[in-house]
Amino acid sequence: MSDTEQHPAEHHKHRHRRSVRISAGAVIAILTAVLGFAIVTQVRANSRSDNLSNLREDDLIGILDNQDARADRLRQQIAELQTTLRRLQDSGDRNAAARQQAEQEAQALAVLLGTAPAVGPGVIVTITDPQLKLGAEDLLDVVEELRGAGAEAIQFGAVRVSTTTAFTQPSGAIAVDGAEQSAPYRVIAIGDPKTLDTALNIPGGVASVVRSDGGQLTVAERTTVTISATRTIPTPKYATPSSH
Amino acid sequence: MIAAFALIAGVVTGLIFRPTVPNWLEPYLPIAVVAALDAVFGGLRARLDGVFDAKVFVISFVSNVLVAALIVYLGDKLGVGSQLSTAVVVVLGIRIFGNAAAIRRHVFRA
Amino acid sequence: MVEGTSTHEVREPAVAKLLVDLVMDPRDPGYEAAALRRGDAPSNRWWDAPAVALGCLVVGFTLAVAYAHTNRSAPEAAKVHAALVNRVRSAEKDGTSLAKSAQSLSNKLNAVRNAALSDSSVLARSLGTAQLEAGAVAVKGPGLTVTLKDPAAATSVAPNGSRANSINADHVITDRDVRSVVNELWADGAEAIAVNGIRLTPTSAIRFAGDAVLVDFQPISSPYTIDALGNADNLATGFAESDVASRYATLQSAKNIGFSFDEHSKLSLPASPTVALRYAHVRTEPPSNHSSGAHK
Repeated sequence: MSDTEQHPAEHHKHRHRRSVRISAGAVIAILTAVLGFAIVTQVRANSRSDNLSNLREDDLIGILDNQDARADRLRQQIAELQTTLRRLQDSGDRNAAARQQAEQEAQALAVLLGTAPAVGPGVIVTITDPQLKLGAEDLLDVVEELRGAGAEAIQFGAVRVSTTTAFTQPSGAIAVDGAEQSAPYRVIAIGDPKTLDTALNIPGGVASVVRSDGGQLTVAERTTVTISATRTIPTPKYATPSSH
Repeated sequence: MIAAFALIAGVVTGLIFRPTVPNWLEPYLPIAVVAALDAVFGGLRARLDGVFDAKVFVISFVSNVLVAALIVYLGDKLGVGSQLSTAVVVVLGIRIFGNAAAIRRHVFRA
Repeated sequence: MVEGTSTHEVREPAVAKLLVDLVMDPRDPGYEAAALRRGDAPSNRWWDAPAVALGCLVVGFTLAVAYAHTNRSAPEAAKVHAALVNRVRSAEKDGTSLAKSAQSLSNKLNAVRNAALSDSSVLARSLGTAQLEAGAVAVKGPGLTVTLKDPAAATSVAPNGSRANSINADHVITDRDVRSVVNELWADGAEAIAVNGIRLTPTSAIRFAGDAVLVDFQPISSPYTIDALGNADNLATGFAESDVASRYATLQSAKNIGFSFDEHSKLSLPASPTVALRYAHVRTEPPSNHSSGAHK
């Protein structure tokens, strides 16, 4: 029968056509995948486009300096972490070494978070407000400026400032973490006195804002200041550490 | 082959001499570029189709540039210069793509 | 009626033909006509080859001149600027990768230490809480996300046809705005906050450098996403009733900024490396009168 003769040839052609279809299909699938990937990448790149190209040269150089400073700090930190880790791993009594390191870090965090009194070089800032024009946000600016200049511990009035410290104005008087403050305001900050002083007094900075509101901001550099106010850390109820 | 060599020679000459383009000529530069590309692709396609003609090649390039420049110049005077420039570039661009597709069909039979 | 339809029919194909012609890539009619005229004999006019050569020469020349002109007109300042932008971007990338390795090292140290501290779990637990509040460990939980967006920056078309964003693009949202929102969220009971993916620590400052908002020395750009972890309902209610929220709602209609806030049941905030103390240390001598500040 011609069928049985034709059958193997047709079968072969059928197989060949099928394999061509499969390879073509694979190529199409790959190209479509590439297209999809390109579209997603382009959309993401567009939405994430930073405005760096809009900045002036001076600003870019400023950012570059900041980035270099940050990179230096991070490299130093990495070196310290590596040393600490090695010391812990090499120590004979891991438990004791771990406890000692944990205590050291707890102390450092206590200073940063405000659970322990701190001492060191720094500045005492006095802000007068005779016309009562300063708002909560102006005082927040002072704290932010100090933080940006490297302040490691800050006390506003009798309140220790920390990450969660909020400046509000519920009724006339300015409140820090709920505690009402009244002018003249006294801020103590521990850090490099010169850097802190400069940061507050840059032209157009907080000092000039206070001055334009009829007040006065004076910075006194000190070789030692004491921050005695402390706070307690509330146990986090909603935030839980996530393993990375 | 003469065509290819002449093309390269033209590119090299342009890069060596780098003549400064006067300001009044600047808006017509994109049109000239697109017309030049259209002439090249059109000529190449005609060559592959077997209908290439030197006269048509030269005349089409020159007339495309002149007519397009005239249209854009008039458009500038009438306030629609940039739009007409875009239109010229779009139309010539479509022709370039069409010719390129035809060339592709000749070369790759695809 | 019949004439109307017939003229309508006649007009339509002409327009359609134009569009079809444009898209169907027919051969250049010039070449067609010349080929018809020539017949099958190849043309051998004396000026054929030179004409082609001249034509190609002019074409090449035009292309080269246009290229040279376009690339020369980018003034040196723009090239320097672009180089500077690239340097900043690569510095940013280096900073990010350094921060990542610092964070993973810190995590590893924590893990090793916690493993070794098994019988001093009180210390480990209080250290963990302190690290969480200081932003040294990544956290997750419910919370509120507030988004502030600059109005779309106006783009201008320069005379030579290149599009350039105006240097003084509308940066209506400044560091003060981000600060106000963050401050309000802390007041409403947030336990951890991150701005554009940067976790806030006790030493994080939100400042302005030229046109860019900096968080912890890292530049960020619009849209500004502020994620706050905490009781989502309380945060949302407190924030919605605040002066800050009403201010931005007004600005939204007045200046077309983007402003929105949504509750989320699962937000993830990354960690930020803790600053090493260089000036402050714990006061060890017992204080005479110890005043404790108000706490939340």
